[in-house]
Amino acid sequence: MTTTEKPPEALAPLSLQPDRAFTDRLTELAGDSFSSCYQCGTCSVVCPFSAQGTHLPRQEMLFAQWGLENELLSSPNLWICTTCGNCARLCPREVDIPGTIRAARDLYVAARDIPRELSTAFESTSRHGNPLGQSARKRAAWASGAGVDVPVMAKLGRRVEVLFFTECYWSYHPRGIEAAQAMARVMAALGTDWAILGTEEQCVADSQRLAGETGLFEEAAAHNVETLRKYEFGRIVTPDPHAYNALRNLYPHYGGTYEVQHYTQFLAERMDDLELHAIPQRSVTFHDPCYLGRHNGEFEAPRRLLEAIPGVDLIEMGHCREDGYCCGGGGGGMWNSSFVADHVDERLAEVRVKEAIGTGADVLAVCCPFEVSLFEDALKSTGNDGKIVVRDIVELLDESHGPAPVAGGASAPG
Amino acid sequence: MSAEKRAGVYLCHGCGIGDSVDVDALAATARSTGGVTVTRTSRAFCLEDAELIASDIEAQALDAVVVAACSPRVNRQVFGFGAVKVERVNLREQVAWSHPPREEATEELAADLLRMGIAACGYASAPTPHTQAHQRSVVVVGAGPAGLEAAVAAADAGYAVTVVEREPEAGGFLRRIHRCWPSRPNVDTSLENPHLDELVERAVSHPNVTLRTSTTVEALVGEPGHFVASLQSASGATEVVAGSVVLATGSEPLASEHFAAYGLGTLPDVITSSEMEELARQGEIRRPSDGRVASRVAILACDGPSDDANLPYTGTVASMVALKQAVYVHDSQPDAEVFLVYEDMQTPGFDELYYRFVQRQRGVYLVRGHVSSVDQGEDGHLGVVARDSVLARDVRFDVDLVVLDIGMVPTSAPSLSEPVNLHLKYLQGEAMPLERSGFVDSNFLCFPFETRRTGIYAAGAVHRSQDVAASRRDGAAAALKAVQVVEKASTGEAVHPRVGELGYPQFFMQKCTACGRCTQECPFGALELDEARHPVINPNRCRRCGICMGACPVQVISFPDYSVEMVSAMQKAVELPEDDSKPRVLVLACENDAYPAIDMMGINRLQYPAHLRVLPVRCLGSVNAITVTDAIQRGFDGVALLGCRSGEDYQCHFIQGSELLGTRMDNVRETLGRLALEEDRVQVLETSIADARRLPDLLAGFAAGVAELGPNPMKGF
Repeated sequence: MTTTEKPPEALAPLSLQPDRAFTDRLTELAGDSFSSCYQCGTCSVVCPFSAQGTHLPRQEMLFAQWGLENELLSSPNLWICTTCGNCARLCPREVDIPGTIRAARDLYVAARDIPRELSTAFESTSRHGNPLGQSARKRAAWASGAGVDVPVMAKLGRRVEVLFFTECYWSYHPRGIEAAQAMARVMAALGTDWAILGTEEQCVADSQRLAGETGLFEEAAAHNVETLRKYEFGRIVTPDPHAYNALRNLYPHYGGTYEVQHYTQFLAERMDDLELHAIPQRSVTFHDPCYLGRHNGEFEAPRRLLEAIPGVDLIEMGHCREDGYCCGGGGGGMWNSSFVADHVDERLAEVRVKEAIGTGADVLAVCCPFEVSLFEDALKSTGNDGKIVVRDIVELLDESHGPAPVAGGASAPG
Repeated sequence: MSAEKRAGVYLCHGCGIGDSVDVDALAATARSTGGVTVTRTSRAFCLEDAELIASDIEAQALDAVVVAACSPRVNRQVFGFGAVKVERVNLREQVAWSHPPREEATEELAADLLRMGIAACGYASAPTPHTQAHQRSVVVVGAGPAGLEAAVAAADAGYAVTVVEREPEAGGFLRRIHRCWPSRPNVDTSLENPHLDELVERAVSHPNVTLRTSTTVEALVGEPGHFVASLQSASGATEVVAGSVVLATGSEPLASEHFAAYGLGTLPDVITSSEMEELARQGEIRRPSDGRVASRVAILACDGPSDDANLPYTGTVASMVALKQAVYVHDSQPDAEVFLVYEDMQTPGFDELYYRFVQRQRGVYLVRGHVSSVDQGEDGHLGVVARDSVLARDVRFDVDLVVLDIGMVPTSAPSLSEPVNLHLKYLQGEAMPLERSGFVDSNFLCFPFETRRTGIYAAGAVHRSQDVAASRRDGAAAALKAVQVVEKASTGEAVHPRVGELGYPQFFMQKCTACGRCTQECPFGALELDEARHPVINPNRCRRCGICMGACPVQVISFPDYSVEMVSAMQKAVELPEDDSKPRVLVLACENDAYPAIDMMGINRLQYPAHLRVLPVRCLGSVNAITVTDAIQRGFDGVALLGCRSGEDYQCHFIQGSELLGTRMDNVRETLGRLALEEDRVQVLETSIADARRLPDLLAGFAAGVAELGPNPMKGF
C-alpha cells in the first residue's frame, strides 16, 4: 500500500486557491526557502521512502508553495518523514526540507489530532520526562548494574571533567541499559572524571520537537538548562545523536552553551589509553545515525572506534556516510511505527537490516539509542533473526577491553 | 617533382625523432630525390637552426622547403618563410610518438611521408591574391537592438555604416517591450528600462552612421569587399556600396493560429506575451474584454507536448519572458495572484538567480505541467486546468487573464508569410541558407557568426533565439566580423576557417564541360555562371575548402598550392611493396578535425598501424573521386576517408563537405565493382577532434577489415 489511496487518474482536479496567510505562517516558522523549490525531484529520489510510492517530500514543498493548508496537513507523508535530511543535503536550491516539514507539523499539532502513538509519547514526555512512560525516579537505576561506580553530580558536589547526559533510551530501555553499563565500564577503564545527572536529568526532546511539539521541547530545554546551571563540568558527553544535536545547536538559544560531544567523539580521542584485544566477531558493518553524520558532520569518530578493535574488518554498506540510510526512528518515527506501517510496504529498519546482512558482516554496529531496538525488531519481522547481531559500538569496546563480560564468550588470545 | 623547382629538405632529430627513425638514412633518401638542392639535419630546427633554413633560401634561391619535424599544427611562425612554399612532414606526432621505434615498418612510414612531402613541393606556385575589393563600409539591415549595436561598433571602427530599417522608426522589437529583465541578475533585483531612445540616439548621432527608415533591400550583388545593395523607399530607389552586410532583422511572434487550443482568438481575455508588454506599459494591467484590472493572471509557457510549433522558439528567452511578466503583474498590484504553468524552465547562468527571485515573490505560483484546457467560466472568469507532472493530477484555477508565452520566430523563417529576403543575386538563390527552424545557418560551436554567405553576418533574434542584452552583444560581434572580412578582402585573404589563405580556385576552362556541379556544390555560393555556362569565381566569397575541386568530374579546378595533381603525386610517392605481408592503406584526413585528432593520438602516445599513410586534405569534400580510384588502381589495399560528422548535426567546417563526399564515394564503389574489387576497400570514417582515444580502434578496425579482404590484386600492374 502506498500513500496514494486511489489511482491518481481517479482524483478530482485539485482546486488551486492559495492561502497566503498559511504560507506566511510556514515562512515564520521555517523561513521561505521552500518557495525556491523548482520540482527537480532530487529529494524524492534520495528519500528513503522513495521506493514506496510516496511523493515525499516534493509534493509537500509544492503544497507549501501553493499555500494549500488542507492538502499539506492532511498528507500522511507529513508523519512518515523522519527528517533524516538526505533530501536537504542534495537539494540544488538548498531548501530546508526537514525544517519545512517540522513547521507544517507545528501548525498541525496546534490544530489537529496527531497519530495516537505519537500523542502518547508526547504525554509521557510531558508527565514523566521521558517518552517511554517510565518513572522519573528510576532514571539512574541502570547504574547499579554496571559493575563500576557511576558518580552522580548531586552527590559528588564538585566540578567534573565529563557530565554524561544519559538520555532516555539508555536510562530505561533494556538494550539501552546494557549499552549504558558498558559505557560506565569503559569510562572507568579510562579513569575518566565523570558523573551523571541522575534523576535530575530530563528528556532533551529533540525528536518531539521535530515531530511538531516545539512547546514540549522548550519546556524540557528550560528545565535542563536550569539543572545544568547548578553544576560545574568540563563538557557534556551524550550517547544520543538527537540530544547531541539539540544540546550543541539549539540549547545556546535557550541560555545553555556547552562543549558537547557524542560519546564516539569523546572515546575516539582516547583510544590510545584503552588496551584492546580481539573479540569473536570478525567483520562489522556500521550504520551512520542521521543526526550524528548528515546533520552534524561526524562520520569518522565511530569508524575510528571500530577500527581500533584488533582484528575487526569494517565493511561499509552501499548507503553510508553522507548517503547513510535512515533507521526510521528520527523525527518522531520512533513513536509512530503503526501509522507508518499503515502507509508503507516496508519499514526503513527492515530495508536497512537486509542491506546490512548483504554485506556478510557478523555485526551491525550502531551508536544511536533508537537503533538497537529498531534493528533487532526488524530482523525478527523480516525473518532474519540471527543472521546478524546488532551491537552498540560501546558494547563491542567493552567486550574488547576487559575480561569477557559473559561466561563462554571468551575473548580470542591477543 | 618538376625540374624547375629548387627544394631544401630539413630533417630534425629532436623530440624523439632521432631515437625513433634513422634520420641520416632519411637524409640520403632526400638527396637521391630529384629537385632537392640542399639537405640538412639538426638537433632542433625550431631553435637557432631555423636561421640555417632562412639563409639557404637566400643563398641557394630555394622556392620550396620541406621541414621534416613536428606537426604542421605547431611552430607555424618559426617555419614560415614568406612566399616560399613550406611543406611539413610530420615525423614527430605521426611517427616517433605513435609507432614503435627503430622498426622496419616505422622507418618505411617515415620514408614514405618524406617522399610525399617532397612530391607536394612540385605543385606549389605562389598565389596571386585578389585585392580589388575593399570598400570600408557596412550595410546593417534592421535597426533593432542588434542592428543598432552593430552600427555603432562598425562606425567606431571607422567604417561608414548605412542602417536600413523597414519601419518608419528605429528600435525594432524593442519598441514593443515594456521592460527587460536584469542583464546582470542577482537574488534581489528589478526590471530594467530598455532605454530605447538612448540606443537609437547613440547610433543616429554617430557621424559614421546613416539611418534609412521605411526602406527595404531589393537586391544585393557582389562579394565581400564590394557589395551593392539596391534600396527602395517612398522617395525612390537608390544604391549603396558596402564591403559587408550585417543581417539583424529580428523575429516575429509565432502566428496565433497555433494557439487556438488555448482560446487565443476566441476568448477575448486570452492574449499573447507580446500583447502583455503593451498592457504592462499602461501601468495597471486591465483585461481586454471589460477593462477590469486583472488580479488573477495565468501565464502559460506553451511548451507542452502539443506545442510542436512553438517549441523550437521557446527556451531561455520564453522562460525569462514568462518570469518577467509575472513580475509585471506583481509589481502593478501586490495582492495579485499569478499562476505560471510551464514544462521546462530554462534559465541558464545568472538567469537562474532571476528565476529564484521570481519564485520568492508573494502571490506568484508555479505549476509544472501542461495545460489541458482554458474555458470561459462564470462571472467572466477563465478556468484553466493543467496536468501537474509532479502530482500526476489535474489542478484547476480561475483567472481574469491568460497570457500565452509565444515563441519568437526569426524573420528569415520560411513559415512566415513574408520572410525577410536580401534578394541575393546569387546563382544558388536569393535567400540566406537556413537551419531547420528557420534561423540563419551558422554553427554555434565552430563558427558562431559565419553564415553560408561570406561577408554577410547574422545577429540578434534572426541569428538565434536571444534576449535584448544578448542581441546587442551579438550585433557588436557581427560588426567586428563584418569589419574583419573587408580588411581581409583588401589583401585577398580568406576568412574563417582558412584565415589568411591567399590562393583561390583556378579553372582550366578549355576542358570544362559546363556541367555546373561546382557551382551547385559550393557551400558558400562563391561560383556564378557566365554566358557559356562556365564557372566564374567571386574570390572573396570563397572559403578555400576545395569542395569545387573535389566535385569537378574532369578535374579542371585547382588552387595554386592545392590540386588533384598534387594529392595524386603525394599518393604516388608512397612505395607499394610487392611483398604481400606489407599492406598499404591510404588515409585521406580532413585537416580541420581528423588530422589534429591523429596528432592527438601521438601526443597521448597511442599507437596505430604503421602501414597507414596519412595524407591531409582541406576538407573531405575536396577529395576528387579520381584520387580514390587512382589509389586503388595503383595498388593501395584500402583507402579511408577520415572526416567530420555529416547530417543534421554536422560538424564539417565547410558545412557540406563530408556529406558530399559520401555521395561521391557511392560512385567510387560502383567503379570498384566494375574492377571486380571489394567496395569495402574504401570507407568514409567519421571522427571529431576530441576522438583521439577512440581513433586507434577505428583505424585498426578498418585496417583489419582491409587485411581480411587480402592484398589488392591490382598491385604491381
